[in-house]
Amino acid sequence: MFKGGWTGKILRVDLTREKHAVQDLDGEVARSFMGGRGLAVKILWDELKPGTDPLSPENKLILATGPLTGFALPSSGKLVVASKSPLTGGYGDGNIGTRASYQMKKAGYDAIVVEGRAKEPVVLVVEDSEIKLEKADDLWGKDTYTVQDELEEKHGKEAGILMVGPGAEKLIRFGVVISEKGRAGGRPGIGTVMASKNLKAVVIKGTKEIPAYNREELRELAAEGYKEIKASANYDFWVRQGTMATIEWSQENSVLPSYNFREGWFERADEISGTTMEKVYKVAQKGCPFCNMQCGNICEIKEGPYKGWRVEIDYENIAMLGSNLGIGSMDWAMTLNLYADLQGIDTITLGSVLAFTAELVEKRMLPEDKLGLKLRWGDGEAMLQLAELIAERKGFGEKLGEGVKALSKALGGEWFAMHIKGLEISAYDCHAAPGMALAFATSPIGAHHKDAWFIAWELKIGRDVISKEKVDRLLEMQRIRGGLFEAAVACRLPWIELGFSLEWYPKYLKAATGLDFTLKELYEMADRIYDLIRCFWAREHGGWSREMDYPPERWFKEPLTRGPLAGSKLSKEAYDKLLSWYYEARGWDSRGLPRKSTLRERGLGYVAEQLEAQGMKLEE
Amino acid sequence: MPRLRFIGRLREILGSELELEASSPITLSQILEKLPQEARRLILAEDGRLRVIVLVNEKPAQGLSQVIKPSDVVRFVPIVSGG
Repeated sequence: MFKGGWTGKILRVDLTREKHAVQDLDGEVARSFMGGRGLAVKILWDELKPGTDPLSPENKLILATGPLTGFALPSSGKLVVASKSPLTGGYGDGNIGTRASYQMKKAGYDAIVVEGRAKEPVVLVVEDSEIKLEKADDLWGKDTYTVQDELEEKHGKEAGILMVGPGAEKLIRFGVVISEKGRAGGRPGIGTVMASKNLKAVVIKGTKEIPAYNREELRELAAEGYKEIKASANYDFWVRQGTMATIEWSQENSVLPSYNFREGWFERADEISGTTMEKVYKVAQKGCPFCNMQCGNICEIKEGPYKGWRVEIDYENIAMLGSNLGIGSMDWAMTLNLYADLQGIDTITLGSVLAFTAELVEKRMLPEDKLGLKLRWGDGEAMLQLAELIAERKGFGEKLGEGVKALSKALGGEWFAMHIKGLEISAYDCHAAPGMALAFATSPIGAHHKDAWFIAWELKIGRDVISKEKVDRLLEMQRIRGGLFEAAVACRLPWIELGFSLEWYPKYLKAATGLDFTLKELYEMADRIYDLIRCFWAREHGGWSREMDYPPERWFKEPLTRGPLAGSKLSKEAYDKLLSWYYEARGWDSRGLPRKSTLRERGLGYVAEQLEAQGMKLEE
Repeated sequence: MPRLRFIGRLREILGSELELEASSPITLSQILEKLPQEARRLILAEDGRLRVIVLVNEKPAQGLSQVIKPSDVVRFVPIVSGG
């Protein structure tokens, strides 16, 4: 059935029964959902019993590649990790650039689906058709750098390795999946799901040739693509600074989150900028497999308890663990980043939890004696102490490990709890960016930049413009970033950063799979995936209301006080207009639920029927 | 004299701010012609498309023929994605 691209096989592993099976990938599912996020949500919708506890053995951990993964093409060395999220209760996923991506394809699988719970900690070892569970007692509790070294020593440097850290083992709700020392994915607690299954790591090694419809053409197209990327006017600067250039960018545009998103401008931004990184801290370059525009900035910490350690940094981490905590020291921001990576906890959410706690203390809503330490903005040492309490789930850290939403429900301060749908907001302040706020609020996993990066397009349209055109552009962006790239499983950065043409992707897909996809068809697929993800959320939450698609009250209530845009804040009336137009453009009703006619049009009629059978009333 | 502001690679080439010697209004296109080739290549694609966002007094520029007044501030903002 498959002419190439896909291997056509899914490996199913049941940790409770210690059994595995190989399942055929349905050709129609591959055509309609492609892979990565699309395949993951399809499996979760079809197989997960509604209301499943995300940390129960019944939840499924999905590791999924796409039809382009594993070929030597620009930025095709990623995979998606997905599950029902223990942080949000909805659909959760993330992507990671890792050797595990191409090793999975070479082993002969498009995806690995893990369910059940092992009796004791294990490592799942996949070597082509040989599947083993190895004891992991000696690895449990060890940090992710140590585990990477030990597993590489045992299985070889080329092995694809995915793991969880000690923080995820303690079931902190924002544990991520980690690979190759600092490559992280699955912000909505996908690492926590993996740890809840007593699965410390997955090691994958493959020896097969990945099937391709036209290998020669693929090779030629890849060579042309690589050449186009390298010829980009901004190539050298990108390779030098990568995403860290965004610190300066965000500062100049008043979107750099500072003091728990109270401001979008930080007085010490220069000290944590890409230029400072390049001049003082950067010691090496790192990239994903098959990438010729590597953006991994390996930096060495110069001061503090982790002096001499190396850490891979990028914009989101340094903004959330720097300016958002009032920290203008690159050493401390990097130290917090490193600590989160070692523990396998999400850097963005950690930054948000620490900032929210600092603000609770500042507002005298949380006594410091309860916290057990003196917490002040900009105090890296105190922030690290608190991060340790969180990772070890000690003292008040136990509560903080539940995330900002749960914390604000317990302690108050919901109006400045910076999350949407339970997922903490990534590093773009939206006081003066209504379109970006809408993008965060309608992102299918909660407020993550992966699907939601709209800010530059919004600048181009006009920040204060409230129009249907702006909403249409947001949908276009979601179709590309959240649809095409997350389902084909390719990195978005060549396109967005260096202007790599989208027209390459239908060509790559044709050469890899033999199937013709137009960009229009790929965008329709993206809409199908977004609809199904929305239905999954609605099913798990027992309904929907438009308040679920609102950003936090802070952006409406409290204007910026610093920087060139001081005085700016969001208008609720304007936001509501944008949200209504967004629903209309998606074919969703005024509550934010897909209409029956929309679902039928996308080939999801059965989804509508199942929701209605569970008592949810959908509009026609 | 319009003020031009730059970040990223453009800042490395041109500095963070440049004051143009132009006492009468000129077009954006004429401004670009005054910049060195390396900077122009970062701003304009070969087909004449803008590679960066150009903001005139914080409002999106209305094309290369837009007239820039001596009192205007023009910002050149690269498109980035932040991770």
